[in-house]
Amino acid sequence: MWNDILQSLNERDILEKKDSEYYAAFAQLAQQLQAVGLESTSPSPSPSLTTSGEYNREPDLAKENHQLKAEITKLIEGINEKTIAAEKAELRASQAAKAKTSLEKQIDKLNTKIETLTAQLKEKDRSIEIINDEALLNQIQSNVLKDEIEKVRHENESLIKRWMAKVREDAERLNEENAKAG
Amino acid sequence: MQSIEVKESVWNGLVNVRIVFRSAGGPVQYLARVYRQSYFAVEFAALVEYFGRHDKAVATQPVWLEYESVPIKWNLPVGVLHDYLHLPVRTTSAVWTLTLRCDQYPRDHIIPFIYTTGSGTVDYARSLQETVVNLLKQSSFVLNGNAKVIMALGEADSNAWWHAIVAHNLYQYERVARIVMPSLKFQRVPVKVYVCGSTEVIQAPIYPTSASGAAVSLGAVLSEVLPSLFAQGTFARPYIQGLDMTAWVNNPDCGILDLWKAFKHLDNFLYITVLVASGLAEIDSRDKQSISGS
Repeated sequence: MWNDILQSLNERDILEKKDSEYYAAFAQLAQQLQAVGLESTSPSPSPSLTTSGEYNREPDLAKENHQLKAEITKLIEGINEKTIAAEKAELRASQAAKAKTSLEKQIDKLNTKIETLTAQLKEKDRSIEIINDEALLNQIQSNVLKDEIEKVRHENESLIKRWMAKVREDAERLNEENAKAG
Repeated sequence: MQSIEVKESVWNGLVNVRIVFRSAGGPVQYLARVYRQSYFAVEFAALVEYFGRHDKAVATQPVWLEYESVPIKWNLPVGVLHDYLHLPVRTTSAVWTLTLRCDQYPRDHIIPFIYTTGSGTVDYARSLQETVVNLLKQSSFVLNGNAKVIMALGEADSNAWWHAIVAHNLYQYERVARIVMPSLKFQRVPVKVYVCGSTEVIQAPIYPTSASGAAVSLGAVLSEVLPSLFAQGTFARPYIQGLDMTAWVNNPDCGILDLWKAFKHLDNFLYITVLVASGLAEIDSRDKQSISGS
């Protein structure tokens, strides 16, 4: 919105400040004319003597007054420019301060998030340790069980061998008895 | 940042004025660059000094300016007078020619100057200061519901503010304005509406926000104060600080308070000049020619 308004103001100024240089030149000439007029109204070469014997410094003072007025006008124009520049700087500073505050808030938020995540990480590390311990325990138990299974398997094999031997002996004995009876 | 540039442009707005005085020896001209945010009465001392060399009466009698035989109200800002009187008939030259007079002061039309200086000459500054202070009291009353801040303003600050207005010193003006308007939360917005070709001045208390809390637009204000021109279509164009505001009439981002902050005059009033439909097309074509020609 402000961009469009600024554009319109610039167009207005192009129109309304047209030929301003002539108006400024006229103002300067009018002041000089005024100063010359004051000098010419002085009855004797400046500084003139008044009836009381004092120097009549009125034309000089008026001329000086005009010069000072012109200087003041220039100074005020300069002050106005500086005021606008200061306002722009203030606005920039205020925007920067706002951005800083916003970033600080964001940093605080992120720090809190980091703290939460760190706590979560620690908790997870602890959980992992527990799980590792459990896994180790399970592995030990597994190894023990494996050993037991191996032992049982050996026992089983031995029993089967013994049982097979016994069955063979029984079968042989039975065969022998059958042969004797036959 | 653009809002500050707008403020700078508004503060530095100037109009070129050619002032003619018809002395016994023939017409004499004076070319002046006058700030839109100023008053013609501020220039009177310089005009009297210049034209006084051609006619002594100028220095002893109160002067006034005329445009097309219409006495110009010195208590109105120059920009408002320009938009109200000159804009409808502006030609491509953009030179605004006024006539200085010092005979038979038109007391029925414009405020008379009642004060004189120690040397017997008319004290234009004192009358203007009194008028501007009264306008500031009025605007302060509209803004805050009372004029306490203006009444409580110390003499030093009051004088500084006045000198800032005369010298067009933004720094001093802003310094005192911060004391007078410590916050930007206002009850109402001081607005004056002038319709070109009419002597009527519309001054209504404008609330910056509606009951729902939304910003009141320029269009809503104009429909309320000038329903015959704005309620049922566009029969007129509002001008503020010399800008045709038609494009921003119903802009939701451009409330009346935003416009007041950007375009208010030194008396803290927002002046809206309304140009009725006839002649608008001519102004458009003239302005386009002038801008492209420069």
